[in-house]
Amino acid sequence: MRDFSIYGIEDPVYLRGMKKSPLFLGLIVFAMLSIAGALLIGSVANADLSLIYQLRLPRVLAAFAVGGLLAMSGCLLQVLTRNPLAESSVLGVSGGASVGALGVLMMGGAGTIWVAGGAWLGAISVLVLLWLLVGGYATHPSRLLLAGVMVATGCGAITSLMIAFASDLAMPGMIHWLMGDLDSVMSLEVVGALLGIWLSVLLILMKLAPKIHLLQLGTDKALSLGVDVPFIQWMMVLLAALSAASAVSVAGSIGFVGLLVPHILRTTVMKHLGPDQTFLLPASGLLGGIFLVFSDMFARTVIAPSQLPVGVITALIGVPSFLFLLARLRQWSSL
Amino acid sequence: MTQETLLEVQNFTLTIGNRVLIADLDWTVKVGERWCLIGRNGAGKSTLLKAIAGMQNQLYMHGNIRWQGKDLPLCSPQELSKLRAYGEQFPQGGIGLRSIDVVLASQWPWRYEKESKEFLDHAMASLARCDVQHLAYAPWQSLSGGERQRVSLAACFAQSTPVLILDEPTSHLDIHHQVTLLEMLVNASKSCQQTVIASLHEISLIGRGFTHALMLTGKVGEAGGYLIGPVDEVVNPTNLEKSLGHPILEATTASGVKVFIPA
Repeated sequence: MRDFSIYGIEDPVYLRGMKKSPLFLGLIVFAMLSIAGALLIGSVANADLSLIYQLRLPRVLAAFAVGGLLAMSGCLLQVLTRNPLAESSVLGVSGGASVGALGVLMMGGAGTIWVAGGAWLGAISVLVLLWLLVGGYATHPSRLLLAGVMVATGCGAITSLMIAFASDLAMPGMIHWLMGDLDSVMSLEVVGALLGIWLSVLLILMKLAPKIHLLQLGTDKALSLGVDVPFIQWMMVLLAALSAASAVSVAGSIGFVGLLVPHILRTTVMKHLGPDQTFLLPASGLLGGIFLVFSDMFARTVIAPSQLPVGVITALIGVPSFLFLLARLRQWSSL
Repeated sequence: MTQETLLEVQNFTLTIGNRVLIADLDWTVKVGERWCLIGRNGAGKSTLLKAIAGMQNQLYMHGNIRWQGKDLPLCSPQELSKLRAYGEQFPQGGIGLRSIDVVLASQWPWRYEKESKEFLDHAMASLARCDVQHLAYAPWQSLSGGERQRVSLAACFAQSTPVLILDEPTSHLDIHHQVTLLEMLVNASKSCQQTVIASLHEISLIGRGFTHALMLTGKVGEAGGYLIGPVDEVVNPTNLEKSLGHPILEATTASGVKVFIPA
């Protein structure tokens, strides 16, 4: 494969020995190490192999896939909307998943596969609804995002209503789901499906990334360079929605990963290497996974044998580190 | 002179809403010509430029546009991207983009023809041509309006196309860079037969190198007329006043260049 340096080149002045492909390899190695580490560390110190295989392996792999999917989804939406604050929850997908999952929990379906099923159904219904609302392929994606924000608000109201009417028995489970947690992931089949989606999204994105990179110059410029802009934009919306839907249907509404991870990459790596989407998108997919594996590891070990919801941990780690980056790079005005 | 015909526009009508911006335009551009497009705000300059660049929604247009004898709808986006570069009126930059990224990205149409090293050299040369090589690694958000315009023009040059379609390339530029830009366009057009089609508000620059002019005279509420032809024939105070809606005076500088100024 040829090295097309038009996707942004290494800056000779600020290079400091960083290169993209070794960095990417480093991220892959780091991801494997973090998964291995998370498998070994746990509340039961001398855990036997069957425990690791049955309980920890699905959970750790699910954390990796969920984190990667959320980060890629956020990264895509940030490029698409040209807004550094965009995240998967703006499409209303998380909201739809919440309504679906809480509906199942209200009817006493806690602990069954129907919770994830309901969440998935909710997320997909929101997508179909959005598609019908904005009138399909020919319209501009900003219409879809606007509709998405509205649907998300609506879903938030329905969620509150459900909690208000919930029985005392179902209430704790519902709150727990809303905080986002991975402890319901038990079956390796679900994890396999999730990893499959993660890998497909990653591969499709690597294929589309050069054109997504050009979209950063604005739709008109990209169009004049021969990019099929409407197709790329809709692929970005669909992939972002699909990733977010699969992630939240398994793990509940874990916020913040999609916002934090691409920005960590931008403020550290991209500052030196340029905003190359052919690197940023796959790297988000990996770093997001690593981030959530670590967060989940904390969530289940910090106050062991009890567990914290991982959504709380992502925010607790994420918010200060993001604010730190923002403060340290005040002079870097390109956010 | 037997020049090759590059662009043919026939029976072209442009409407937005109920307004007819340009009615029945017949326009032929030959290789190496430099066209300026004159008209008041909202006359349809940008829309016309986008239309011939193949970037305008087909709903608002009737008529034929042919590039090198081939109907525009039949030209693939890849073909067009190697034929013409389009300079936006308001160039955009994404999150974290630097000047060099913008210029490198605009060489995308040639990704299979060139080696990696050439892209960087070519990008730096283009930036140098527009006098912004010192800003190569500056973030887009830190550039001033004129600097952005110059980076965007450098990106158009880097696209290495036989045709440049520029939407108000001189906007935001200081006087010195306006004049050097025009000199550059004239040189490129004379040495490499590059064709330039640019919309313009600085009427004092017309005499500095454009060979032909297309003046849109449409007013609000009437079907859009136009004046077309070589600069010596159509660009005069009467016609300029018709197009721009303001009295115009003609003057000759000491070096013999004809300039137009608002009265």
